[in-house]
Amino acid sequence: MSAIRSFCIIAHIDHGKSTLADRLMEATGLLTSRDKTEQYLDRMDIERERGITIKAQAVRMRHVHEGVEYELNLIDTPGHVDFTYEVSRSLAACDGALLVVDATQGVEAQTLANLYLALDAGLEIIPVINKIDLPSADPDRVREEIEETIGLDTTDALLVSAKTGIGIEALLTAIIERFPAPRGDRDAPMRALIVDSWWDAYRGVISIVRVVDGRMRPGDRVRLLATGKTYDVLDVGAFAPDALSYPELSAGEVGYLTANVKEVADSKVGDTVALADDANAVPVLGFKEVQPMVFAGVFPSDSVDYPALRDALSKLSLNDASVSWEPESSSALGFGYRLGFLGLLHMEIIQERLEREYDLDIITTAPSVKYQIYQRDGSMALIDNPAKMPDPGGFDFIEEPMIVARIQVPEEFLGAIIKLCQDRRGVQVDLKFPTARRAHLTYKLPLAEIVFGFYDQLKSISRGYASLDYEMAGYERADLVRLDLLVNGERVDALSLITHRSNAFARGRDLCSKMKEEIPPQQFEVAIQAAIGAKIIARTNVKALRKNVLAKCYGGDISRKRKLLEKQKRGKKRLKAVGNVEIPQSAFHAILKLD
Amino acid sequence: MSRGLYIHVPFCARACPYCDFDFVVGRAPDLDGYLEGLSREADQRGEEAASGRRFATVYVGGGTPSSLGAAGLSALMRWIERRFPGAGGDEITVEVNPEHADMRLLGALAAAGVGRISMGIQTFEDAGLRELGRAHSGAEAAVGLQTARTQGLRVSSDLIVGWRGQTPTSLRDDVARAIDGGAEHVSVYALTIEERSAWPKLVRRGLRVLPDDDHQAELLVVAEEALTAAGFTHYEVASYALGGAQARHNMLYWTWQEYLGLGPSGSSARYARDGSVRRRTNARGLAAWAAGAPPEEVALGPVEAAIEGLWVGLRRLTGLEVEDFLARFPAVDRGWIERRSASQRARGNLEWAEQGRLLRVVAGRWLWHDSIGADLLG
Ligand SMILES: Nc1nc2c(ncn2[C@@H]2O[C@H](COP(=O)(O)OP(=O)(O)OP(=O)(O)O)[C@@H](O)[C@H]2O)c(=O)[nH]1
Ligand code: SF4
Ligand SMILES: [Mg+2]
Repeated sequence: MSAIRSFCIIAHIDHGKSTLADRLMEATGLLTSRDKTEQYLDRMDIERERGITIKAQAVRMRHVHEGVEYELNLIDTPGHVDFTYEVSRSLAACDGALLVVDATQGVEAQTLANLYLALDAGLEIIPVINKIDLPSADPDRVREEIEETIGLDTTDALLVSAKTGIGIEALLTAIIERFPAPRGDRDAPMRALIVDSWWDAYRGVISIVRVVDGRMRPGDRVRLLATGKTYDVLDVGAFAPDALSYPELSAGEVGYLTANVKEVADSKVGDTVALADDANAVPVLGFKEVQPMVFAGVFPSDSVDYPALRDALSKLSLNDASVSWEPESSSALGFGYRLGFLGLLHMEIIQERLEREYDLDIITTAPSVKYQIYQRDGSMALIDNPAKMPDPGGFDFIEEPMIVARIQVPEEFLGAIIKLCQDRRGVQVDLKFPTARRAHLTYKLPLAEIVFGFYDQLKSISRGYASLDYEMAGYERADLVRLDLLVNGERVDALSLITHRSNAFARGRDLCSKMKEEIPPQQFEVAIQAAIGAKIIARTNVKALRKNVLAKCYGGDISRKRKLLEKQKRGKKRLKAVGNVEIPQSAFHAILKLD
Repeated sequence: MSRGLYIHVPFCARACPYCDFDFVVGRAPDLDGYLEGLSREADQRGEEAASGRRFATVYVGGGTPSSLGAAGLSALMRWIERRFPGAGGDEITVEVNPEHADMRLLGALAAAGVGRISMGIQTFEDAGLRELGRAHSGAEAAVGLQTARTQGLRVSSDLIVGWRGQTPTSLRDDVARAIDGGAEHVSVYALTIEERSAWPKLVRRGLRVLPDDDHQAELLVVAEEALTAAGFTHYEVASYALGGAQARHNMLYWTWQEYLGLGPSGSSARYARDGSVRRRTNARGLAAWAAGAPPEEVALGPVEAAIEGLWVGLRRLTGLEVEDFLARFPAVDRGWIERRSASQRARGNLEWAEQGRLLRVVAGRWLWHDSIGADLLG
């Protein structure tokens, strides 16, 4: 056990975690330069295309140091705030963390957020300043920033380039010398922590585990403590970099486990694996069910695809237990599902996978958060679909989910960002200047405000230099109303949204004018109205088209004319009918662009 | 059931800038070659083209048939009579451009047994004719009408509405002049710009504008008001007639009758007993057609044909006659029509009339005929 080192790499997005992992694997002979794919551990198509890590991965490397062969377990974790819970579980499987900071960027929001998680998990930290090959690299400034913001001693920080390989050998030495060996008892009853799970077409559910005590062997009968279900271990091993079976995984080791688990939902991140007959097994960590934060309706463009959507969702959730789904129906969009996501990135990923992996044409409605509606009788209802929120007067009060956002921003953009936060109903909690040029801003904000384009605005106001991280901060009471959009007097349920009363007029006007651009002129004038309950707060209309007739029918050429009409008709297939008004699908996306 | 014969004459003296129909411009028409081609096609069509007498109507359209000149047209009419003896017992119509409508040409037509001409007047206003790139003047059109009358020819006048600068007053004037000139039938078209015509290029060069939808709609309504006030019946989306002067040949199209179309782009329709229909459109372009390029053929099964028939039959604004429809399309029944038309009836675009004898487009809603059609076909 003294020759095992388990560690992870934590960093802000794009600071080079996955590339550094490539270099470490190369230096330990796991990858040859023939395996030229970059970011080897990002195995999913989406990960490759977006250049981000979504699923945690673990690889086992071997490295000889002063005559001793060490087993190095590297866990690559997702870096996005949507996946914070997964990250915290990955960290619990490690003894040390490489804190990678981009030498051209410095400390960003996620650097901090992940560092705090690592410190919470009691990990030893080695600061690594990456990308020193770049001309704009400024390692000294970054060192200073690390010391000022996080109070971490940087005398021993390592300077590397994950691209060129500078400093990798020294890094391996530091990993072995500075990270502690795992503690644990190989002779105690087996306990292991599930770090991540995914579904593999050939092998079923594969879980990455860290064995904390004892030994795990094929044939063991095991129990998952959170679900209470028991399974037979089929295979254990490690990725080096491809799956390699071993006779056992023992305390301190990180590897994979397959058992006859049918769904990813049964092998949840953070759950503990123990022996089935060990009635007194104690969970390695408190287990928490991850909760979706953001909700949206997903509908097939063409209603005949509803069964296909259902199939796709059931397959997808085999693989991603964090997305929730339940049937929903809309008068405008027909039958579909209300999906729950960990965050906006997660939502985008799922949307993209449905479209690409399952080849579905879908309409996604505007994202919403989960509100607590308190009735006059004191009871409380949770609502994640704006269309279901009662009219004003139909409830006592509402509470909405809050977050605490940490924003790192160059000083010159500070004013604009503060204004943005204030416009978004934020309350300042803290403002620090760890270095002269960068401000660390902490704001308490409603989650709903973040969900509507906040991140994009933050990035555009700061020309990409601001970074954001947030965590949930309970529920707070707010004066919220349901804003409806009506076309010719009929409510378009899929376009309802919940907004603060003070923003309702502006949003209503904005929504009406966006819809005016989207709805094509039709046979009748179309009245577009925004309303709170029965009160109309904004209105506009789409002038009627006066005719649709091409009179000429040359010499009885009915086929030609018929083709023209069929073309018109095909265009209409992409329209959704609300009453007698036809609304293009794009209108349902337009609302996403409201700010 | 009657049958019609359509002959397409693919020659025009010059191209109108909005048009993309099948024509050859410029050179002197090769009449002999063209007639040879017609003979060859008629022979190939076999049984379909066998007996002349069963073609109750003949329509010679274009292009510009009158660009063949008096002698050329006489030769074409002789060819028709020789190849299809007795054809056109009910009506023979020839399209004539006003600039060609002189005594010689119209006299020759009358002598050849033509009873009706369709004159492409478009407008009597010279500014409009220039905008439309037509070769004639308003005065020529008026004289042409008068000449036709002296030759005892019945006249239909085409009017185009919605060109730049046209006002309701000038359109009312066009209608009045056509009627005064003796037209007993008027076809009214909104100016339609074909994608592959010269017009879009002229627009890019700032020489023309694209027609405005509202302007056209307004003028289409003005034309309807003016013509119906003068006693014309708006019997088909684009057609108005005084009592008894409806275009019989065109009527075949709207009542699911058969027709044989010869010449480039010529269209034909043949129905089977079960209502299924085979539609054929000849190759486009004189050269392709003459070289025997294959036609485009569409076969619709009994129900598909009925779906199409519903739309086509509703071109008649006096209403689709349900009994005739069901006789032509035995695969469907009244309930089917009910269901198929339900959404358009609910929208107020269609209605039952005369205790369900007729299904028709609600007054004024013909302006939406393509929307109705697209929905019925969907
Ligand atoms: N020049 C230079 N580029 C680097 C270096 N390390 C990483 N990069 C580039 O930086 C980008 C981001 O690298 P990744 O390894 O995908 O970053 P990551 O931290 O894994 O990103 P997430 O998984 O999305 O959080 C890629 O384009 C890399 O090629 C380096 O040392 N020098
Ligand atoms: S509108 Fe008639 S005359 Fe003008 S080019 Fe077209 S077919 Fe020929
Ligand atoms: Mg990565």
